[in-house]
Amino acid sequence: MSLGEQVHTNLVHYNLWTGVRLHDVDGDVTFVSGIPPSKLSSSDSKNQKEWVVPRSLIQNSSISVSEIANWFSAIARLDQQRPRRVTIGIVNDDGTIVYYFIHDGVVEPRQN
Amino acid sequence: MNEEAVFQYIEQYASSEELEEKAAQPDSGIVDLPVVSLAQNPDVLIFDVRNIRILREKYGILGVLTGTLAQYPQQNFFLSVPLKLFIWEVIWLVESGKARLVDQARYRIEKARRLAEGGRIENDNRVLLSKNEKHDNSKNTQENREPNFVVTKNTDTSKKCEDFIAEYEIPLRDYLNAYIKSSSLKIEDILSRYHNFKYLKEMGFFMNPGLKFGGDLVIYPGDPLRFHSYSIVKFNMVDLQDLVVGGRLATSVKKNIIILGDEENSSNDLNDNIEACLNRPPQKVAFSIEWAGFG
Repeated sequence: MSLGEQVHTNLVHYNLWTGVRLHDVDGDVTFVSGIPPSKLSSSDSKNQKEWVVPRSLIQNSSISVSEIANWFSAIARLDQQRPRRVTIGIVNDDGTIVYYFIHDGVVEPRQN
Repeated sequence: MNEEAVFQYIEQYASSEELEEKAAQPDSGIVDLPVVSLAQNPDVLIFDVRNIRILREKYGILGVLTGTLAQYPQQNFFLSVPLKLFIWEVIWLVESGKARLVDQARYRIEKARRLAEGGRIENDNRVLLSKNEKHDNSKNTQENREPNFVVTKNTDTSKKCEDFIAEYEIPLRDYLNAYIKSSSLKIEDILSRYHNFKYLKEMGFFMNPGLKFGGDLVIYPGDPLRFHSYSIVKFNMVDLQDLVVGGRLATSVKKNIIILGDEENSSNDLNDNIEACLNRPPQKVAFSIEWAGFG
């Protein structure tokens, strides 16, 4: 099961997302898009499409700014618009997946 | 001289000093940054409290206080002058024309020489020890004498020094060359950090070193004495494990992690001279990371 498929399964069956799709870009990176069951952040619009980048914790344990910049521009090509944020899905080899927002630019931390 | 008279004298003196201080406020706003010694120790250490205040209030430059408080030598939570500036703070101040570097070692020697020559520079410190020692034994004449104390000002206000302080200004390039000789950082690292600093500075943030939170910088939306820190900044790379730990921790204390670096992995061409690298900032990109709140 590839990283993308693991994240896909987790989003559909554990987090109850709908319309979850896998997007292969140049066979290099896989992106997952879908719609979460409820707004993830108070400033989101209803049924806002969310982009998830699956990433293995074990294989490659650090990410660089240029890599993240590439994700944003690749998604911009897929979706015709640059997203305000992407979500990174960090997959561990024990099946755990954690999700983190990566916002474009310097943004104020969310005040819970 | 009785106690009351001494207090009166001090009060009178203090008010005249205030006026003097007002007059001595540098109107140009250019702060002198004293370099300890260009050859041996090219650190910038500032003892002048007024300059520290200008740097903080006007330019948003914090530095770190490194001196012990003489009254409380057994603690290091509250520290005192000198204020040490980081190299990127120094570069930013000089590059934007807000400050100039001064070769303090040579300047002091020259100043001492001029003082010794006498007449050319007046010393502001008032030595008010009793003039006629012979009266010391006769207690009843004390009323008529000047108070028996020395007034030493805590900042150097001898205005006439400004006439020649400019002769000891260090060009930024010379300073950087001296600095890298004594530093473990390479010139590329210094310049890259400077550009990162500048990017955030121009967004209006105040910055402190980030080691306390496991990052390279901590940024504040205003003076840290009045605002909570905002974000932990990491340069160029972030480790996924750190991201998870930091992201959860930062989210719980209402912070986020910012990863900041060059858009392309092209390092500055080292064949270029330093000025060219300073003036041609690489395109910076930043991303803010926080816990998504699900999964």
